[in-house]
Amino acid sequence: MTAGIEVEGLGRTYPGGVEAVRSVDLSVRPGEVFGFLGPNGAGKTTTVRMLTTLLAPTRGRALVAGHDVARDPERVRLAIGVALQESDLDNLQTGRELLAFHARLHGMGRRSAAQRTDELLELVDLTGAAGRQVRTYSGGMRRRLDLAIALVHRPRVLFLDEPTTGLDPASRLTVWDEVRRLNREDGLTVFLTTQYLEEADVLAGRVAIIAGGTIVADGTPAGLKASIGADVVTVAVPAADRPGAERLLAALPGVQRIQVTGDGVTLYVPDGPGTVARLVTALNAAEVPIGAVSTSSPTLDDVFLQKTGQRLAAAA
Amino acid sequence: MTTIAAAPTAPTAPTAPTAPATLSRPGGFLRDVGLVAGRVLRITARMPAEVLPNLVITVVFYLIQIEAFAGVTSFVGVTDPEGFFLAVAVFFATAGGAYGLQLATDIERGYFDKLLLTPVNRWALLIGSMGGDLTRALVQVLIVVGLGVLVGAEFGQGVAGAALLVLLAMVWALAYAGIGYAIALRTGSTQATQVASIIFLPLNFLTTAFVPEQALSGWLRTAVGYNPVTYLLDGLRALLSADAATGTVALAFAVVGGLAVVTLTVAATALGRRAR
Ligand SMILES: Nc1ncnc2c1ncn2[C@@H]1O[C@H](COP(=O)(O)OP(=O)(O)OP(=O)(O)O)[C@@H](O)[C@H]1O
Ligand SMILES: [Mg+2]
Repeated sequence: MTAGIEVEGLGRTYPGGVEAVRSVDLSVRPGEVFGFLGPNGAGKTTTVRMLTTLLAPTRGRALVAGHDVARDPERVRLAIGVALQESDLDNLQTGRELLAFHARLHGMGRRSAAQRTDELLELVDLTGAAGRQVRTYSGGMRRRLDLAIALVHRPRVLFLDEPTTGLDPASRLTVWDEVRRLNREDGLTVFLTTQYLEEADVLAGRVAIIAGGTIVADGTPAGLKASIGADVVTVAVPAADRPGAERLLAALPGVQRIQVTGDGVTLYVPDGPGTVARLVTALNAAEVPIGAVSTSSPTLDDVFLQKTGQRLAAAA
Repeated sequence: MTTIAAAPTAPTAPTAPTAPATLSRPGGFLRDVGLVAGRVLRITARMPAEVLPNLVITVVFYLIQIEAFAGVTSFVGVTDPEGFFLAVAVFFATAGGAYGLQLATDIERGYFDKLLLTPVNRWALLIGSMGGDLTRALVQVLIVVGLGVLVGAEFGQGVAGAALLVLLAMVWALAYAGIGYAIALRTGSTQATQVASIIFLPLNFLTTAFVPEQALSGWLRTAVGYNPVTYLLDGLRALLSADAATGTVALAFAVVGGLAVVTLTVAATALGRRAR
């Protein structure tokens, strides 16, 4: 059993014709944290559900931990742990009961299930609340319990579908630390979906960006940013003036790419600071009203913008 | 083992690092059924509001019926109102709480997916949940039968008759549960599943629940003839009366058992679709 993921031409069309995932190719190496980044409706959950055997692919092929998700789903399930995005827990059981129940569903005996339960409660810091019914848990506590359930059988591959959406910043950091620790200490392969650039940037060794059911870019965060090969200069311009500004600025020296966005125009240039002065002069001369001007190194958002013509934050 | 010395060594494929197996393995069918049923019972015990009202209504109705109809039933040929209405009470007891409601809730809230991600046997998910629901029904039936003993219902066939009565009631509960589970698995909707439990109301009124068949007339009598609950009630009553009507009991088991086969088949098909 290898702990990687190999996906070829994977796609899913829902009954009714929604092509949620067109064709996804990706490869996750054992022991890697892989970030699957995309806005709402991009097809992240649909992909995760296919990789975790909950949803049958309508085309393509996927091997998870060395087993085919369509032909050998039982084997896949033995190897993976999954924290789903839209899945609730059992409100009327206590945290300890629920965790022990799942341990036993995974075939553990009463004694080892109890032992594993205690270990995990400790790990996700729920020992104090273990005797309370889950309905009394806060959102963050539920997420942590859900993570513990996903880990109960010591999976080799962990799927996390938007594990931090809706969490406060402190809880988000806790989840990040935990993912890093599991990956580092237990060599767990992690497939993590997120709408947050920062999360992918911070956690993932490699990232694939999905939009509209297709992967538009993949690589290491640093590599993706470097592929833009430039500084990013952004200038806010009223909507009506954007086409004019685009034409003017495209003529500036060194402009590699130019893109109209939701609040202005974005330029990719080798020399950001130097370009700012020329940009302001050019727009002033043409009497285009301008707002904030900024220059920065490229982010994953710029990668997303370059590939899709939209900001991730705006698309989400 | 022989090796062909001349064969050129094939370029070795990069060997993927092998990972140790996880702790997960199938636990066996019966064990899974026990775990799933245990969970349903644990949850049921924590929401008495789902069970108690039905039991209370059943008991109160029974006592009222005996009192209210005590003077009247003899006109239409009922000599043992305690037994006559006990059959109705047993029928009511089997309809306590919607069957499959927990399963529908699990599906609706996404928890069912979590169960599907474990190696739990797929059939154990259905049979275990049903087992939990049927245990609850059995407890209610036993309470009602015990009440029948207390108020002096005849029990013309003795202990064996009472045991068969409970068995017949449970076969009916199985048939009835099949409907709830089929709907739960098909729709994954708690609302639809709850509606299924309301089906029993007209079923109940289109029967000999309150009046013996001889006293019915016209289309009502025809409808009653097609209603499986009629045969169930006839069977339950036969098992309570002194003159053993073996044919009536056999017919009741046949009708209710046949119905169980149908509804359970539909439920099993629905499970097959939902759980790959
Ligand atoms: N059961 C379904 N039937 C039909 N269409 C669906 C179904 N589930 C999802 N879709 C559609 O498929 C597309 C992809 O959905 P998916 O849930 O995979 O996106 P996502 O990337 O996980 O989004 P989010 O960030 O909001 O969770 C969307 O257009 C969605 O409306
Ligand atoms: Mg999603």
